[in-house]
Amino acid sequence: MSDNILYKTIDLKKYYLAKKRGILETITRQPPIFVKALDGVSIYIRKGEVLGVVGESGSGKTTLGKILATLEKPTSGSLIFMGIEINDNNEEIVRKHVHMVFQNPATSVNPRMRVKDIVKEAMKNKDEEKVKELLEEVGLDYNYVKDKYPRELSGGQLQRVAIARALAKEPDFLILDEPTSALDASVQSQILNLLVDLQKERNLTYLFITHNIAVARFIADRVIIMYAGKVVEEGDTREVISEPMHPYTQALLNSVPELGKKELKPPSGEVPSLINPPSGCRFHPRCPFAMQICKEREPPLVEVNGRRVACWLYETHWKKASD
Amino acid sequence: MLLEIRNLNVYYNTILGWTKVLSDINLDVERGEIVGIVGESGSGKSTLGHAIARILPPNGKIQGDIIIDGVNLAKLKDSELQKYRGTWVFMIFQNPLNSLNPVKKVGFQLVEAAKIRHQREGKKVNERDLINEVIQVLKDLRLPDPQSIIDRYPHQLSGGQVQRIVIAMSLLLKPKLLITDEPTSALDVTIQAQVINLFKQLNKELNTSILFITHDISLAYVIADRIIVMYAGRIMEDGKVEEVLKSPMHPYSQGLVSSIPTGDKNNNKLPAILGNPPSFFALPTGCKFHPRCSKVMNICKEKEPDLINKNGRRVRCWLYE
Repeated sequence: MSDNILYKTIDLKKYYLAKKRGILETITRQPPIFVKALDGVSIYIRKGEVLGVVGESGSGKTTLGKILATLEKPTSGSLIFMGIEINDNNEEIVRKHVHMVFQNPATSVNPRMRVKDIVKEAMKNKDEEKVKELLEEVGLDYNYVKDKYPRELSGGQLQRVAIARALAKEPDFLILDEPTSALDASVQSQILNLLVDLQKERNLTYLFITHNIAVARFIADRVIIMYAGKVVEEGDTREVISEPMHPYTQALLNSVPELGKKELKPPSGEVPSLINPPSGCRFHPRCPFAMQICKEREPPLVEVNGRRVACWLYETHWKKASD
Repeated sequence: MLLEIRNLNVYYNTILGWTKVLSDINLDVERGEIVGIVGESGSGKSTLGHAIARILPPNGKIQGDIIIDGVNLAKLKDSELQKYRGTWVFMIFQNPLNSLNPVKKVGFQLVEAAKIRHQREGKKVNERDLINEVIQVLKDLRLPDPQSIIDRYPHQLSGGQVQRIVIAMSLLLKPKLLITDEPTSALDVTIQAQVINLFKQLNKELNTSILFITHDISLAYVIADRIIVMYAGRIMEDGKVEEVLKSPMHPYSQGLVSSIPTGDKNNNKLPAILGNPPSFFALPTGCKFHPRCSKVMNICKEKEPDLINKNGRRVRCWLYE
């Protein structure tokens, strides 16, 4: 089991400074104000699986992706990649095996480079044949696209180029940050099909960040639901979506428009501020089941029926489990 | 009938000459009806909304009739239009911050909207009553603490709150037709659901007709009574939302509906429409969808089909001629 785990995070925290601290603040010893983008996230990713990360904006899902790609350094907590603890000196290990694909391909490739050079740049030995293979693997006509600039391609084609570049380094693990959100519906399904094929052929591991439940259901084996910098629920995608346990997951699913559903039942209120998150459970001001304890103490993420849920409602279940 | 659009063509002037962006649009909207307009980017759905609201960019040109409650908006001069804007057609955009003045307080802008409606109705009201009306509307929209919100600037509110301020403005102006252009695309799912429920409520209580422009078919299903599928500046299919989305007739609508991810990757592949939407500078001959269509016939490449009535729907496809 343990050697099957590719990546693991333990109590990961990322605080951003909300306000620049000048010399005056330092002298007067004003406490710094932090935006708590991630607050104690412990997850694991198995080899060859697709882990979906679902959440609204400000839930910390992109921050999590960036930290796993070592583009950001965590404030505290540890990263364990293939059994090795990652610190400043050995980031190279992660960077060799991990690549990231971003939401908007137009802003993540160099507009002044030709397509073949974009892909070639990421490769160690600049092999023209290999570039051709890669571009054809992602479904592009090599002779048509090789000398084109990014602005001459459509969004879908460009996202394919970005995926080809990500594959150029032969990574084991791809972090996909909303790779289809900027695309049209018909193009979105082309890219999703491509990603599924690539994953099967190359035995890749994906961290698939999305706010779209239908996309997560299609591609992810396991899913984590995030809210205000915390994981609130984690489990098998099908189980979580068909029988959500955490009230936030339930509210989220009730808000998603679907064919055959005429009524939406959203939770009241808005996503909380991450500077001053609510005490206790962060969802309690919007939760229909809020109890006294929810306002006072933060629920831990505990295993219930093969899933992990952070909610006081299931307290009786975990007591039973420990007996 | 509230809105009647007859033979509407819209052109944009570009370096390559006048380009036809909307072609032969005929559309009726009843009072109190919610019509969803769906299509991919570049299908002309936003241009249609802008044309009806008469806010096309300076290089746009309208041909045809847009009749709302007996007034032909397409034939009015800009100076005459001024007295119809807001109370006849009101448009809500994707980014609500663009609809508000960033250097005026929210309350000032809402009071202004209320004042305009009262002036057009020929009523005189004092400032105090207007402010009370604004606060009442904000309370109806369940915005927390309306008294303090009217003293804030747009940038001090969250995305969902600003969108609600714009909706409050439409509640104050009570337009005959509300056009919403991707009003929830910039919002989170839970906030989106709240805003959608507000639109439904507005439609029920004031009997306002809504043209709901979106790229999200599932969202159109939730809100609309009727749905119009657009492609390359043309109406491809038009019918009751249940019928069109449960048994789409046009191959393009079929492709759109089936590309909504259902099930998971182990069961099957997602049926995708191959290729990309066409450019308006190089539209294909015949049916504009034929290069991507799975049921293409010879006639599709030569002649463009008309929008014909079939089974209580309108569809533009040779399969049904």
